[in-house]
Amino acid sequence: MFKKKDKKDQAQSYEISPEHILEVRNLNVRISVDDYLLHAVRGVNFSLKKGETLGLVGESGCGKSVTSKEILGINPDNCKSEGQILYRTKSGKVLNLLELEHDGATYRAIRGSEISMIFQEPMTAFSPLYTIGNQLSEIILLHDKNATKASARERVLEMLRKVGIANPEKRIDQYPHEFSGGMLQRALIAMMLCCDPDLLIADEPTTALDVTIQAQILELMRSLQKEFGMSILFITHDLGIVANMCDNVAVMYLGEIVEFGSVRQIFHNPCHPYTKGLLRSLPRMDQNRDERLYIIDGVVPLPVDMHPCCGFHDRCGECLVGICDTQQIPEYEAEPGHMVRCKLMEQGVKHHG
Amino acid sequence: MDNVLLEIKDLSKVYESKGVNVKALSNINLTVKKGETIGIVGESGCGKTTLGRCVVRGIDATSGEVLFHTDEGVIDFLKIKGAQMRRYRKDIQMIFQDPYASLDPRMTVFDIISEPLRYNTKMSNREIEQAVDRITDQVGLNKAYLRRYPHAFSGGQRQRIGIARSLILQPKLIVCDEAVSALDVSIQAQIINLLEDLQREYDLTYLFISHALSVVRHISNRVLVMYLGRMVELGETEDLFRNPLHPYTKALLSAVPQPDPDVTIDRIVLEGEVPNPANPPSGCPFHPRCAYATDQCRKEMPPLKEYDGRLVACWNIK
Repeated sequence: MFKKKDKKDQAQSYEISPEHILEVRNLNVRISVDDYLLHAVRGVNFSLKKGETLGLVGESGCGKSVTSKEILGINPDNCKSEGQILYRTKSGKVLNLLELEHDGATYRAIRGSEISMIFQEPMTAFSPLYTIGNQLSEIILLHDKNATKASARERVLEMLRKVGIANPEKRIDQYPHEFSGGMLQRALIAMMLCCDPDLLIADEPTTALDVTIQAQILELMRSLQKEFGMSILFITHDLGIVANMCDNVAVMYLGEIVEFGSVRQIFHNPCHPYTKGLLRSLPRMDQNRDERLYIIDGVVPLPVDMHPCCGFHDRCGECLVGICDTQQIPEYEAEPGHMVRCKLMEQGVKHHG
Repeated sequence: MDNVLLEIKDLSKVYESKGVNVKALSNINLTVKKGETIGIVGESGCGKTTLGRCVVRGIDATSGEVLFHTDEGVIDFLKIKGAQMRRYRKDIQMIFQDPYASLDPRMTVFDIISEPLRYNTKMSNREIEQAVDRITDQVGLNKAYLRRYPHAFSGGQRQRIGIARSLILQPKLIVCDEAVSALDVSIQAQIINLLEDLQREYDLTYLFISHALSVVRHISNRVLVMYLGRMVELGETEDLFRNPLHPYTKALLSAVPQPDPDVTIDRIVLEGEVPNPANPPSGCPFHPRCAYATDQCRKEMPPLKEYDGRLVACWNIK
């Protein structure tokens, strides 16, 4: 089962900035569905420092999940990707993850052990047929060759205790259906901790949970990050969570990062019309209740047959006809570290109306 | 009292499962005025959906009354039958959470929206078409797409279809059960504004069930907070959000992440989870998670009492 050898491993060596753990360069993902091709991720660039939390935000279909799954190499076969995903392994070597066989030995050693993921629905992330302890120790036994069943069990107990599951000695032998949603998410976090990963991808980890439980889980993630020093790629559509959890934010729309900056830059000085609209359309706790909510007209189009243009042009109130709908829009720097993909940022470009 | 549309009196619902009684709703009392929006909030399992379903008679309440004020006098909506039931059921409609599950995939959008008319009125095909035309305009659906099937529509469009279906019989009360929870932020704003416009136009009354507190704050006139099937706090939206009285309301509000990195709130992170309603704690159901619980809280159930125009069930509020 695990005999498959990597053909392309160690093909080439790469360099990334010493403080970075991950650099995604010009990533493009195309998904073939029936008889057309979805250009789900279009030229995405970002990097992640050690111990940093990067928020990837956007609405359904913006490509945030496809991007994250590409990093883990778990997109289905009908996805074709180009570009580079450079990752620094624990041994210090920089690998281009896109060159690895998805089911090759190198990727399998990284996946789960160095890069780990927690999912939106903890209820479906576990198999209902095995106990929690069984499923958690499986990871340890797979990745740590020196582990025995007994030592793995000890480690699972330790991790369950770390994530605040009361009475772990009893819980470890229970099945997923005996856990509540919040407890299962804790167990899933314990599972990802078992191998002490350097990079955690959290795909909407609290969306299925109640607010009070969400607050507990976010608190837990924050303290575990402090303790273990891992980097987190936090995927969410909830701008409130982003503001509370992230250092940097990448706003995605139709497969592109339309704005990137520190959490303060994005929330206090949003520059892209989409980011502005998104922030204004949220009902806020400090807002006058009689005020009508701001609306971004229309819906997200399907990224099929994309010609060069700003993906947001047909919903944008400030669209420059003849430019935004016909040209590939470059990135502009609004302030140091704050990138905006919008023609309006260019000096001398006039607002229409 | 005039201007009252709905009075919920002592409404309770007990589910029986394997010989265990689960009290999903305990003694809910609520008076709803015409044109008002009542937000109903709480965590999963607090009974908010059960309350909504009992009001539309999607499930039968165990005891209590739902008094519906009509032009012909007050009727108990839970007791009516037959022709009377058919007549008044039109007045109470529901909008569901999941726009993917609540529309029949084998019916065209036109059939979905017009179905209530075919069952409840004697309108001719021509009249039905006109009515559907009018309502699709109002909810912002493109008429050209009426012959298509739901799968061809996005989540926001489907929710508009669901809203059109619930409006076509010109109801007086609409129960919105997490009506915008499954939608993206920009689409959510569109639907919220639509619900507000329709309310103004048709003088609709909403029971707006949601766990999204910022949405509830925006849309509701009054808010009911529930915990483990009980009323915890009920008050005017502004008051309740500015100065929550019950410790549970306080914790709930403080748990909402604010979309501003510089806002720091004293977050009250509640320990533990909602207890099992089959085996509720003694006394106040919230006491095992409450930082202010006293011996009295552990032993006696606090009654719902009025403080400054607010109803609160807590022993520690003087």
